[in-house]
Amino acid sequence: MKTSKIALHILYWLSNILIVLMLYSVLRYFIIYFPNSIKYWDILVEELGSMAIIEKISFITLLFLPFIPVIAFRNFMRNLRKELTFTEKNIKLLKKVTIGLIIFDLIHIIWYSIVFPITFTIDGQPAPCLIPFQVTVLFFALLMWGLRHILSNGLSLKQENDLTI
Amino acid sequence: MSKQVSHLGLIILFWVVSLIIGYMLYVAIRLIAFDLPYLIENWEAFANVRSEAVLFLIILNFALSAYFLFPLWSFRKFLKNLKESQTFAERNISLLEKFSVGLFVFILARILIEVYWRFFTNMTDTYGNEVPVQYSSYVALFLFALSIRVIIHLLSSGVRLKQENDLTI
Repeated sequence: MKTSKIALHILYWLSNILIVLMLYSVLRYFIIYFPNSIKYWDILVEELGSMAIIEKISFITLLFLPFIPVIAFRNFMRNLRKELTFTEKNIKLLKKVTIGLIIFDLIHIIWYSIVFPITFTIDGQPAPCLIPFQVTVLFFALLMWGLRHILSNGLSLKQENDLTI
Repeated sequence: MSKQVSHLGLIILFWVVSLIIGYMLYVAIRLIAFDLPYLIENWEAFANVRSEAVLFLIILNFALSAYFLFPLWSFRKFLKNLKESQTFAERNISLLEKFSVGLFVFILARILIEVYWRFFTNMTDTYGNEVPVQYSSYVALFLFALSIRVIIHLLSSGVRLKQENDLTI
């Protein structure tokens, strides 16, 4: 059964747009916000104490880290568009996507748990941070993990097929 | 030969989807068993406080959630087949087709409901502010639906390969 490739094309172009947007936000951060955050560093240290440096490092990591899974996903989509479906390379790319997204979520938990209490308050008291992780990101990572399984089965089948021929 | 990929991701995904279905069923049973009798009993008082538009919105949301159980069940069945190593089967493609169409219908219905309550009701948050549109949830759902289409494409390539393989043997 032949299926339409339209979803592949849309996802490929969406990931390209996402990469450009991410580059834009990194540039914006380093041109506009980073000089300010150095200028007001003392205030941040006053509010967060020793956690200020962890907050800054985790935030900068959160800016750069998504490039790994998003570029890997884009390359995976590019391969699918070129009919290179069941290959070892695609399995490795999906592994990068899965691990990248899970690490992103873990660092997000650290950053959000530090920032949430000073950003949101209830009656003047720091609000408890109940769900610091991104559910959709985690679910997408799981889906990509499952997809790896399908690709690995397909690869075994393809190798069997090639051997028979 | 290719490296075998662990089943762990599939198993977690299967249980997460099963838990979502279980939770949705729990909420539905709770609504029907406890909230519905109370609502019917106090209908007049309730209708005075809430406008008809809001009541219609609650019923619409409930109906949509109930509908979504069917595509979600198809997805669970697909994951079950994968767990049992029945990967490249025509049945899996039709199960995923059902799920993908269900997801697109769900997104469309959510957008229509959002448009309805923004234009026909006067809903605000507890502080009286306007509720902002949750664009990210729509984008996430749309991306998820597209990813399902990609899986359908992969499966159909696999099914073709399997048929070729079977014919050669």
